Amino acid sequence: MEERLKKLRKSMKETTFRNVNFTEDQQESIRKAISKSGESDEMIYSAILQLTTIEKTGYDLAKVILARGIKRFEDNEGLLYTLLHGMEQKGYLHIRWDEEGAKYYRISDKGRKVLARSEGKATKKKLAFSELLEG
Amino acid sequence: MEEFFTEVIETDDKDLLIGEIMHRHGQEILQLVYSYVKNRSIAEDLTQDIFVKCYKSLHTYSGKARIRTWLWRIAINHCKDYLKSWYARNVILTEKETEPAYHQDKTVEQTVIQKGEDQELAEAVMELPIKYREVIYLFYFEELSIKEISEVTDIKENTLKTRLRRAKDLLKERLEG
Repeated sequence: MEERLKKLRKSMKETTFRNVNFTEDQQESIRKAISKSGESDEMIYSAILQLTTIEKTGYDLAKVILARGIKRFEDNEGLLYTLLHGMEQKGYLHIRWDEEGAKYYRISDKGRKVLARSEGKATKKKLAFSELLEG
Repeated sequence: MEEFFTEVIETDDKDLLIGEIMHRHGQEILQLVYSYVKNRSIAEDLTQDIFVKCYKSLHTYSGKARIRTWLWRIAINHCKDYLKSWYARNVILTEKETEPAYHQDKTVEQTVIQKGEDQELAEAVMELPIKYREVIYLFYFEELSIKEISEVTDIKENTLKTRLRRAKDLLKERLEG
């Protein structure tokens, strides 16, 4: 059996996978699906900045972001907190703790500037956010 | 090669990166998925989902694992989720996947020989229950080590070794009587 199984690769390629080909068309349709998913980093940063115009906890943000149809954090809230932390470190978000220890996020002046630029022309948007994404 | 990916991730050009990943791994991912679901159009749909998922989580790729290992974990989990889903368990495919056409460009004689040596083995493997098919496929087709299989499937090495042995017994019964 062992000897025979060594030929499995060849044998499956010639039979099972004979008509299983990853085509250019498929790549193209994947690209389309990706751009339709609308979850580029730009969109997410932009959403967070917009949503924190009124201060929110991470928990609230996660809910609203999901309501917008962005599913990236659905099963991974930790990732949202990592992003928020990064944005806070870079001064795009202010934070505030309430008496009960809940942490609130609110857009800073610096964040507003980035957001304003991102809402301008598409080319500018790219610049503004690449700045934010760096590091 | 891995440096290349790390570098591209730093430039944050995810579109470029996903293109490169599809170019390098598209075919093997599609085959891998097919080996789980045994249907071409489902395999194509799932492969699409897998690459979209991969794109969305590119920023979580730490650069520690090889990108292939990382991608395979996503793919294998996705296939298993699909197989566990209501849809896969309840909707019986009416259209049986047509067998690849051997007779098209070969003489009858060649076909018979090939059927004997190649097709039989491949068919027997594809007919194994999923847990045995998986380990046979990854070990003999993809030539991964038990350790690597354990990494991509999250199954313990000892379990895999047992399954591999059992899978070979099953194939032997089937093919050698």
